[in-house]
Amino acid sequence: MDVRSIFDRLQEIFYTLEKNKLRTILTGLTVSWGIFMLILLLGSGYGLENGVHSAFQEDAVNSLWINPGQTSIPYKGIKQGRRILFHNPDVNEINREITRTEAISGRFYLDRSTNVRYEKKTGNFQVVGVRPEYEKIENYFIKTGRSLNQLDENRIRKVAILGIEVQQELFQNRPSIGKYILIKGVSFQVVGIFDDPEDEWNKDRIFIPISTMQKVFSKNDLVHNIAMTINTEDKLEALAVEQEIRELLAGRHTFSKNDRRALFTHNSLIEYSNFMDLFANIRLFIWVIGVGSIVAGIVSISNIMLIAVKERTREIGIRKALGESPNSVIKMMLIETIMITLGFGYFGLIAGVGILEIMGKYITGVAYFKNPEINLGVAFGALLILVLSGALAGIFPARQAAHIRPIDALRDE
Amino acid sequence: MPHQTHDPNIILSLKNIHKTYVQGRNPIPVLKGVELSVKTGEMVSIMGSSGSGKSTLLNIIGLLDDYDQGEYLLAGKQMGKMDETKAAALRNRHLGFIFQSFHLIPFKTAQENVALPLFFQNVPRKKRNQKALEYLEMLGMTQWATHLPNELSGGQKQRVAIARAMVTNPNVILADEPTGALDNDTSFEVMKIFKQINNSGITILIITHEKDIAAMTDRTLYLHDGVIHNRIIK
Repeated sequence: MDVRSIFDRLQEIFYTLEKNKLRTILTGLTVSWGIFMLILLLGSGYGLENGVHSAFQEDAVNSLWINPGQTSIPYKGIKQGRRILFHNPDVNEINREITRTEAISGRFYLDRSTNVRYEKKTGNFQVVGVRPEYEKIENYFIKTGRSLNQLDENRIRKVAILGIEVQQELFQNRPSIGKYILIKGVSFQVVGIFDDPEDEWNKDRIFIPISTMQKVFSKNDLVHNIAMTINTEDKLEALAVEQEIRELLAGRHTFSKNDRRALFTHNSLIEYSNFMDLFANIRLFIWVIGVGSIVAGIVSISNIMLIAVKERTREIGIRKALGESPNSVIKMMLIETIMITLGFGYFGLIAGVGILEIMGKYITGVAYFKNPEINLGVAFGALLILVLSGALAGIFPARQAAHIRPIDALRDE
Repeated sequence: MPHQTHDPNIILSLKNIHKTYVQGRNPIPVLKGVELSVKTGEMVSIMGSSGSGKSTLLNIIGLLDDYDQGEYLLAGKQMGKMDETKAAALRNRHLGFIFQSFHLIPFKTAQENVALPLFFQNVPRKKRNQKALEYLEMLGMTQWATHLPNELSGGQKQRVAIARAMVTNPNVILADEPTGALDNDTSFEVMKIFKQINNSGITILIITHEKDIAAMTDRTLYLHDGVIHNRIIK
């Protein structure tokens, strides 16, 4: 079939559809709706995913926290129920032995009821003693002043960096750098202010060098937990490193390496990848729903087209009598259905993408929701589904039309 | 391929045609050995009471229905059992149809209605619309070319139908009660047009139950009790 006759045929079909506007529009809108919902759902799903991804990006994705617990398995003659405690040597040993660890820091904290005072203002904040490289693990950034450094650590200086909410409460808008605050009655100099946009909890913390913390507020070199970043992006490798560390600490503290309660790990890479798996499943679910609504649209188109065929029985009978082949009738029906599906489906697609864009622009600053958008591949996939569903919807009406016998259709009433 | 020498003057030849309808358990024989032959350029009418099988006969001749027994030659070619695609193509090429209720497509203009048979021949749009206009002109319907059927009177609609039947230059035009829905004066007009067309050499076969209409044709045949007679059987 040459280009002109294809064009001719399309004109013929357009004309027919135009002449029966109401029917065409009602039919088409069902498909529009189906695709619209699918795009909206998918886009929102991506928005959730991107939001989580972004949140995790801000904290180093490959960070690992180790918390001590209580033994639950008797081991080498020692009963269970023994508390495990970490100290500085544990941190150093991990740093030395485990090759994949990058930044590492023990943490010692004074809880949230710790009294902090500046001149007349007081507040209660959590104070955490950390090594300078902790900044790399938690990914907060310094707004004013400087961060804690190795010199502070070595010289056991009484210096502190404050989260912006601490600064707000104690200093309001007055300058804070270089001023002295009292932490539990002990004087510390403020050297920096930090912010952490992705982590609500950090904004009202105070960080001080851990050496200082241990000297001033503790009896020994106790460490409450250990945080580190791991040099890998692979889930399996991350798990392997976890296991290495577990075994190392199990050896040092004499507990079974299978004892899951002696040690608790929080591996953000694993969590992230679990989230990603979850999202893959959510996405699958969304596709199922979306496809379901499209199927509803197809059934509805098919029904309407069947009714249309009944209505047009006389017309089809005339056409056949005048010489239209059954194949031509079938083709006509199929193309009509596909055109309705494609045209209205495309409209639904555009509407969906448009709404997503508006959502992206106006829904900002919502936690875990960012960039709800559809990539081109998905959009084309949706379009392909439309064409196929149009064809599918058209099969039954087409067969009906093809079976119309002119003599029956033209029977004068 | 016809295996007997065919008289080139005979455009339609039916020999011993039988057709039986199966209604439930009882087969109803409608045509019981129809013999019919029409010369090129004749205008022939077939009369018969209702239920006599006139429509059935016309359907068979018009390749819209098949027959159980016998032989049907159209323009010298055997018209036996064939698939619908082939039948449609043959209809389009050799036959033109005119119906009692006109059967124009309601959402197409007069011109588009007339052009439709050419669409099935893959004639490009411009050319077929042009041809359609020519035939409308022949029938005095030029200023109605862009009108829809529901804007036309009965006589005008039938004229459009006639133009449509002629547009493919068929061998035979088959008309099923062409004046059935028209008043006396309009019927007369339409028959005049038929005569004109016939004079230009196109064979016309008219089914009718009206004596006056039959009288205007060259020859009248009577379908009665499943066979063709040359005279009225009382």
